[in-house]
Amino acid sequence: MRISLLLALAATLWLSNCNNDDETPNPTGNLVEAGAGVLAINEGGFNDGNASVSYYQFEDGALQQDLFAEANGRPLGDILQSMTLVGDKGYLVLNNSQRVEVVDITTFESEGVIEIPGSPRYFLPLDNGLAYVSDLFGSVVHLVDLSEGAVVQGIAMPQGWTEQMVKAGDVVFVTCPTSFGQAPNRQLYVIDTESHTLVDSVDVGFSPTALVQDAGGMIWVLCSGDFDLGAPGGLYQLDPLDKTVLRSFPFPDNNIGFAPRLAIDEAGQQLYYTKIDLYTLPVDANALPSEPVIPADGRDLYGLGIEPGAGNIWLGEAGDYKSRQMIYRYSKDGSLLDSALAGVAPSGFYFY
Amino acid sequence: MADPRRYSLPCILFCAMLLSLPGHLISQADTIDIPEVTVTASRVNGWQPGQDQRSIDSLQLSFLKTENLSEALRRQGGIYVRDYGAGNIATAAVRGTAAGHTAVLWNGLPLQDPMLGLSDLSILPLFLFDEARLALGGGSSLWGSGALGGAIHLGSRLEQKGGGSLSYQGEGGSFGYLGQGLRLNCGGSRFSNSTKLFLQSADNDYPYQDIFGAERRLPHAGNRQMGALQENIFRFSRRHQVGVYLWAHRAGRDIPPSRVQPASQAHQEDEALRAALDWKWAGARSSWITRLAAFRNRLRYDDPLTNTHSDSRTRSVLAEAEGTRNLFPGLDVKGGLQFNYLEARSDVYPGLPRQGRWAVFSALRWENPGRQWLAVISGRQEWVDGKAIPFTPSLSLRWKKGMGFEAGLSASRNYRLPTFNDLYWPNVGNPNLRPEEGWNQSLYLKMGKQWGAWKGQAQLSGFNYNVEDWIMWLPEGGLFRPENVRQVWSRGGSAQLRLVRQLGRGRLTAEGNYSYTRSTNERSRRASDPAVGQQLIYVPLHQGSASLSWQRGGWYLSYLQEWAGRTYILSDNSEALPGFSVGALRLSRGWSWKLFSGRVYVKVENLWGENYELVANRPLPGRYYRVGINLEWNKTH
Repeated sequence: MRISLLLALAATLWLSNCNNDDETPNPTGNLVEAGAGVLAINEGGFNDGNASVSYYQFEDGALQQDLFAEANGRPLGDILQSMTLVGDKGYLVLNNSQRVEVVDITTFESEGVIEIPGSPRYFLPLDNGLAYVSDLFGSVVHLVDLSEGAVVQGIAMPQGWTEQMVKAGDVVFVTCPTSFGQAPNRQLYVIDTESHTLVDSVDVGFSPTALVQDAGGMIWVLCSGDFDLGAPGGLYQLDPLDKTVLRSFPFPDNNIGFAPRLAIDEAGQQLYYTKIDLYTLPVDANALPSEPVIPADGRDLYGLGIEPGAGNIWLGEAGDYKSRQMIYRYSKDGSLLDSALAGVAPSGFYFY
Repeated sequence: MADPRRYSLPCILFCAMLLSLPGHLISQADTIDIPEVTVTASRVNGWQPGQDQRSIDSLQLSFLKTENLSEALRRQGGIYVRDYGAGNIATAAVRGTAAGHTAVLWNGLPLQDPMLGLSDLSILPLFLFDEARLALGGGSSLWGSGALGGAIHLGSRLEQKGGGSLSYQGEGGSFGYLGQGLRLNCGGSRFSNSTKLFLQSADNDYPYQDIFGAERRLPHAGNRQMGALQENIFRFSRRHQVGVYLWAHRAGRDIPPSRVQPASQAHQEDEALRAALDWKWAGARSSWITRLAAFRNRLRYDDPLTNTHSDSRTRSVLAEAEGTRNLFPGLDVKGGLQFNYLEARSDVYPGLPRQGRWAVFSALRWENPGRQWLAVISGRQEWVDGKAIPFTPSLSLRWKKGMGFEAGLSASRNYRLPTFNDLYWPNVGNPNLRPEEGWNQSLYLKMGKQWGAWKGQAQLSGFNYNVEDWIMWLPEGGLFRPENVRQVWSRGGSAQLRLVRQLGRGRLTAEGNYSYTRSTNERSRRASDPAVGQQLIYVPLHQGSASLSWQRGGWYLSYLQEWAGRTYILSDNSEALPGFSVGALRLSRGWSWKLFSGRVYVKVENLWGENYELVANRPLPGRYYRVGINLEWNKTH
C-alpha cells in the first residue's frame, strides 16, 4: 500500500515535470515578454466597467484578453483612456474611474493606484519622480508625486479640456481641444516643469488634439478643426525652442472623424494619422498625401500604433462601443497581415 | 446621512400595537376591473379586445402606493424595467423592444418626453393613479407614436355616487425613505372631485461594493419628489360632462456614482405641469369626446465634475375630437382627429425645434348578438410637419366561450417617430430619419375552471414583432449620430397561472408567470458586425415571478419571488449581467370602525439579500424594510 502510494507520487511528479514546458510558458507569472507582442488597450463602454488590455503575441498571433483581471482577479475599471510605459511600469489612465492604475508591465500585477479627482486622460512622467495628468473637464493639469502616489498640485489652464502632452527640454507642450459649448481654441499651451506654471502658448490650428515629437526634436500637432465654423484642422510642425510654427499642412476639408489619432514610427521619421482613413507623411514632406495608405472601408478606425522594428501599423475599430471589436496588423505599405478580436473599443497600442 | 434604522423601532412598535387591534375584513377587490362598455366615448377601454392586457393586482398595488410605477411593473411578465436604482431613471421595455417603444398614457394622453422619447417611471408615483394597466402589443392605430411594443395606461376613478372620502397613506423605512399621500374624493351626481397630494423622499445610502472590491454606502443618492393632482368632473346634464384635470409635479434627484466611479456630483431636477380639459357628450347611439391638453416639462441637469449643465423645457399641446356611433346593434364606428404641437427650448439645441403632427384615426367594432365574438379594425394616418408617415392599420379579435374560455388575436402596424434629440442634436442630429416601424402579431388564450374549493385561471400568450429602421446612435462618417440602421425581430411567449382556494374563512392564492423573449438584431450596416443575430441588450431571455398569498379576516400575508435569467449588456453578447432571484414578504392588517377604516403593513423587500443589478454597475439595495399605514374616512351614499 505504502509503496504504491510512493510510486503514484513519483509518477505524478515525473509527469508534471514532463508537462512543465508546454503547459506553463510563464512559470514566473509573467504575462508580457519584452519585444514579443503588442498591448492593445480597450477603452470599454461608459459605466460598463469593462476596460481591458489585450496582448497579441507576434510569434503565433495568439491574443490574450484582459491581462489585468487575469493577474489581479478584479476588473481594471472604466474607460481606459491611455497607457504610458515607463521602464517596467505601466500607468493605465482610467478616465471614468478617476484613477491611474500602476502595474508591473511583465506580470500586470497592480503596484498601486493614484486617485485623480476629475476626469484623467493622459499621463506624462517628468524626470524627478513627478508626472503630469491631463483632464477632460477640469481646466487643469494635475501634478502627481509618484512616491506619494497622489495629486499634489493642480496647474490651472485656460481651456476646459487638457489632452496630450510632450516634454521637450524644460517645458511640456499640452494640447487643449475645444470643449463642447466653449469658444474655439487654437492655442497649444506650454508648461514650465520647474515652476509647474503655464508660461506660454502657440497659435496652431483649431482644436489642437494630438502631438508627437520627431527625430529632429520638432513637435507635430494634429488639429481637429472647428465643426461650427466649418474650419478644417491640419498638421503643424513647430520648433520647441523658439515656439514658432515651422510648417503648416491644413486639411482640405473638415471631415476628420470623432477620434483623430497621430503616431510616429520608432525612428521618428514617418508620421501616421487618421482622418477617417489612415494616412502617412514623412516628416520632411512638403505636402499632405492625397491617398490614404489604409482606407477605412466603412470601419470606424479608433486605435493607432506603429510597431517598432518592422514599422507595422496597428489599427483598432470602434464599432458601437457595446461589443468586442477587431484589431488589425498591417505592413507599413498597407497590406493586411493579421487581425484579431480584442476587447470593447480598442483605442491604442503599446510596445514593450 | 440618515441612519437607515431611524424609523424602524418606533414604526415596529406602532405596527405591533395596530396589528393587535380587533378587526373586520376589509373588502378588497382582487384586481381592478375595467368595466366593459358597448358605446363609449373614449378609446382607452374596449377597442383592443384581442390584446393581452394586464391590470396590476390591487392588493399588491396597495403595498406600493407610495412608490413609483417602476416597482409595480417589475413583476409583470413580458416587461423588463431598466432601473438605475436609488430613485433614478427607470424605463420599461415591453416584449424585447426598446424603452421608447412603450407609450405611457395618462387618461389616454401621451406622457413621453419629446426630446428623449421616453417616460421616466421613477417620477410617476402610483399614489396619483387608481388604475394602472399594461397593454402588451402595438397600439399605434389608436395611440400613435411610441406604442410600438406596448402601452401603459394610467387613470383615475372618480366618485359618482355622492359623498366623499379622505384617505392618507404613509410609509417609511430603510435608507431614509418616507412616502406620504393624501387623497380627497368628493362628489355627487353633478360634480366629482379628486385631489391628491404626494410627497416622497429618500437618502438611498444603501451599502454596495464597488468594482474594486471596496464596501461602501451609496453616496450622493438622495431624492425628493412632490406632486399634486386634481381632477374635477362637472355633469351639466345626463348627456354632458366637462372634466378639468391639473397635475403639477416636481422631482429633485442626486445622481449617485456607478460602481465604477468613485464619486458623483450630478443632480437632476424635473418639473412638469399638465393641464387637460375634456367635454363628453353621450347620446342614445352616439357619443363625443373632445379634449385639449397642455403639458410643460422642464429638465435641469448639472454635473460640476463633467462640466455638464443643461436646461431643457418642452411644451406640447394636444387637441382631439373623437366620436363613436352605433350603426346597428353590435356595430359601432369611431372616428377621430388629433393635433399635437411639440416644442423644445433647450440650451443644447441651437434653435427652437418644433413639430406639428396631425392625425386621423378610425375604428369599426363588431360584436355578434351572442357576444362571443368581438372584432375591431382600426387605422391611423399621421402627418408630421405636413409629411405623411406610414398608415398604421390594426385588427383585434376576441372570442369567448362560456364563462371560462377566451382567445384573442391581434395584428397591427406600429411606429415611433424620431425624438427631438435624434433630429436636432447640434451637428449630429439627423433630420432625414424615418420613423421606426413594423408589424406585430400576438395571440392569447385564457382559461378558467373551478374544482370544489379551488378556482384556477391560466393564460398563454405568444407574439411576433418585426421592427424596421430602428434608430441607433453610432459612429458614422466620423461623427456619432443617429441612423435608421437596425432591424429587430422579437418573438416569444408567456404563461400565467392563478390558483385560489378557500380555506375555511381564509383564502389562499398562488400565482406565477413566466415569459420567454427572443429579440434579435437582424441587420447591421456591416455584414461582419458581431451583433448581427444576437440577442438585444437588456432583454432577458427568461423572466418570471411567483407569489403565494393568504388572506383571512383583516390579515393578508404574501410572499413574492421575482426571477430573471442573464441579461446581455454588450451587443455581441460577450458580456452579461448574471440572472437574479429576489424575494419579498408583505404583511398587512386592516380594520374598520363606523366610517373609518385603516390598514397597517410591513414589507421586507429583497428578503434574501440578493446582490443584483437591472442596469450594469447600478447597484440596487440589499434587504430593506418598510412599514406603512393607510387611514380612510369614507362617507359615500
